[in-house]
Amino acid sequence: MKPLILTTDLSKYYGKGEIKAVDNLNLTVYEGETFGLLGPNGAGKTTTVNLLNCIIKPTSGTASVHGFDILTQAQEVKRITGLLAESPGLFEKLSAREFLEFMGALYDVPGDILPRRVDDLLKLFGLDERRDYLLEGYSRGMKQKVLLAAALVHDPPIVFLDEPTSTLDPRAALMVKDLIKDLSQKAGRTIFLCSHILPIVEELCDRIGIIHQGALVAVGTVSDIIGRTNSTTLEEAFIELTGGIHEGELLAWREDVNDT
Amino acid sequence: MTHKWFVIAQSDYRARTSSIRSIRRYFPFIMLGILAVFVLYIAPALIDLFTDELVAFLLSQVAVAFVPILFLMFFLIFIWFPITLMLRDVRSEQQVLLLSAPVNPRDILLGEFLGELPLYIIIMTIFTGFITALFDPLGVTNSQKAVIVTSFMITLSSALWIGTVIAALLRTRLGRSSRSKDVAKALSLMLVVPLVAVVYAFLGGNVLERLADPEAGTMIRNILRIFPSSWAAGIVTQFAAHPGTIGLEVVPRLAGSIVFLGGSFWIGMRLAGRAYSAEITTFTAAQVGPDGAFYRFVNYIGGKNSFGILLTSTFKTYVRRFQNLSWIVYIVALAALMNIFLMKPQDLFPVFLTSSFIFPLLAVAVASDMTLRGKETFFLYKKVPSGVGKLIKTRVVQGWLIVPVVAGVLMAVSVKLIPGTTVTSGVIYTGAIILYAAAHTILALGMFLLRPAYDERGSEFMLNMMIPAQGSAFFVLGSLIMFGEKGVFYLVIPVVWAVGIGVLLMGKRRFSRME
Repeated sequence: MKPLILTTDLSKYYGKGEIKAVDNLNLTVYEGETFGLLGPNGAGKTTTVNLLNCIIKPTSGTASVHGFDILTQAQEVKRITGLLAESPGLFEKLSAREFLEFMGALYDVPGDILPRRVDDLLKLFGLDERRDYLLEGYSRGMKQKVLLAAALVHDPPIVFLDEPTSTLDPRAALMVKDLIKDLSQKAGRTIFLCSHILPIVEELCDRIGIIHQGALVAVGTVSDIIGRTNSTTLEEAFIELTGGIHEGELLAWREDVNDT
Repeated sequence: MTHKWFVIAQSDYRARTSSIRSIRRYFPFIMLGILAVFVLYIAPALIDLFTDELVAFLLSQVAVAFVPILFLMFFLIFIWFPITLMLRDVRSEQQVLLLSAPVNPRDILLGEFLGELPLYIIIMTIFTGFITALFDPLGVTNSQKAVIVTSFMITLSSALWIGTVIAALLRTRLGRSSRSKDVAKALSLMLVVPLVAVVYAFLGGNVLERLADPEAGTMIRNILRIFPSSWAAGIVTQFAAHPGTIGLEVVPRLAGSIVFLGGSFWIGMRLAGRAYSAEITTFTAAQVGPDGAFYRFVNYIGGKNSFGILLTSTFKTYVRRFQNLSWIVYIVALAALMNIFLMKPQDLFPVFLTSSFIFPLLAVAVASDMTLRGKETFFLYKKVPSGVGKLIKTRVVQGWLIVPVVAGVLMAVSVKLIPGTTVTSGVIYTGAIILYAAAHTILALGMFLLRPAYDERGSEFMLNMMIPAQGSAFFVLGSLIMFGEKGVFYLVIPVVWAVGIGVLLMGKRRFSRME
């Protein structure tokens, strides 16, 4: 398989280097695969996604996305990627249709294709009836759907999804999961997924990477990682690799109450 | 292929006109018609009412110095507009969407500017409508008017561009944390103070009289020459003096304005990369130390029990927000400016009068903190046993530790500054303003319980601010006219207390039943 995302000692430090958001990341994601990046809060997942989308610049190292260098060919990288960011701001005074048209135009979707594609995406996400309502009146789940549609509006070969189902109801989450599967299996798109929801990662991802304190601590298939850590589930493997609280400590805070 | 700046400008324009979406298509034509009627008929008719006075003024020595000042004010206001609007609501999250797309930051900046420009052009046209109508009685020709309008539009467009660039740079800096967004809101309020100071100085600071002095007028004109607004003002005063002839002196002034616009445009474009960036420059998070003497004192006031902790916590959330502190600074500055320029008090009553107009605003600002932090935070108290009572008790004590104290301190300072003030009158006036401010504190809390405002831009917030402030201003003035100074003391203070207690009780009842 052809490597589509290739990072070489990719690092992003803050301050005088004491905060290592991403530290010497070496990662390969292949064409057509669904890759999941897991990690606790503040591990460096979103920073990695921002680096690979040329939103921020690395402190050292580099990466190529679809053959384009993130340092020297930022515009080309942006053109071939779609991003559903973790906490993006919507243009709340635009309607869903206006917003998707706007995003499509920013990604140079030809004018003769754009209206039809916007219509199709709105129908796909069940937003067709509310297409002309301002986004400020949408629920969180509906806003997430609009953002997902915006990430796909230019039909990019690589899609970055940062917590795509976190605010969706079960039905919408199922639809998004099916969409990710179809994008990967039927449309041959490469998906880079960040999520805390381990069952989703297990179900959707061909391979996963676990990042902790900016460093990649494991890469492989789910069964590889479970086997390597002598665990029985991905959850156990994740805790093993990133650390957790021992069961005995969980009720320690009640000791004062128990004593009295 | 459509230019990216055009796409961004179009989206920005759509967002700004979202409230009139049903007529958006016809909006430019409707606006064009209204503005044409304004420029051709309404503005000349309004100017006609004061023709003689205005002609005399325009031909006077004062006008030669006043017009550059007026134009400088317009220039600064157009820089100030986009900055203040941005500071009130810093939204940097949208930048991720734009920065992840293949768009040059220059396109984003230009698009934002062009998106807001049509709406600012409406304001510019209103100004220019007045200015051109102003020169009709002097016999200024249409070609002269065209030059005036052109130079005025160029100057204001430069100012708007500078304001847009500064706003974009500040947004990137201030949009990165909730703390910096809080600083932005505080700054938006602080930026009003210099403008208020200038307006008050013109209203009551004898500025026009001083400009009539040829020496002072020339000095001010020379100082103002460095501002591009003065170049446009120079054209206006030149045409007023020589109606009918354009003259060669116009050329360098107009050319200077165009060069300034081009130059500021060039610099702004070069700064666009810095204005749109998602890079984090600092990674410091605010930390707190152990409670200092102030919080220990608040805890002591609260009885050092669970209520003391509740009161201290409420105080901490209030004091740690720059926006809240900026309100106190703003109110104190406003009171000082009103007294310095407008009231010029010889005794304590005028100080009491200005304070009685201003401190209801501070009471509202303090009370608004109860609901502005969001419905979830506000409704937290409903979940707690006897939560409504605890909320009201805490907020009343917290409000009383701020509003009457600030009012009392301001009055005490005035006692010190105004010569010939006796200790007795100082104590009476200080006590009276403390009682008045305390009454307004409970009135404002009652208003926000009756009509919670979760957003500063909502109508609830505006009404909660306007009703006590305007109501009490009219009541104070009415009592003064009808019963004199004693009426203000013996009538206003007890009535505000009675109304405040009533509204607070109604608010408590309403909040208890609120779902």
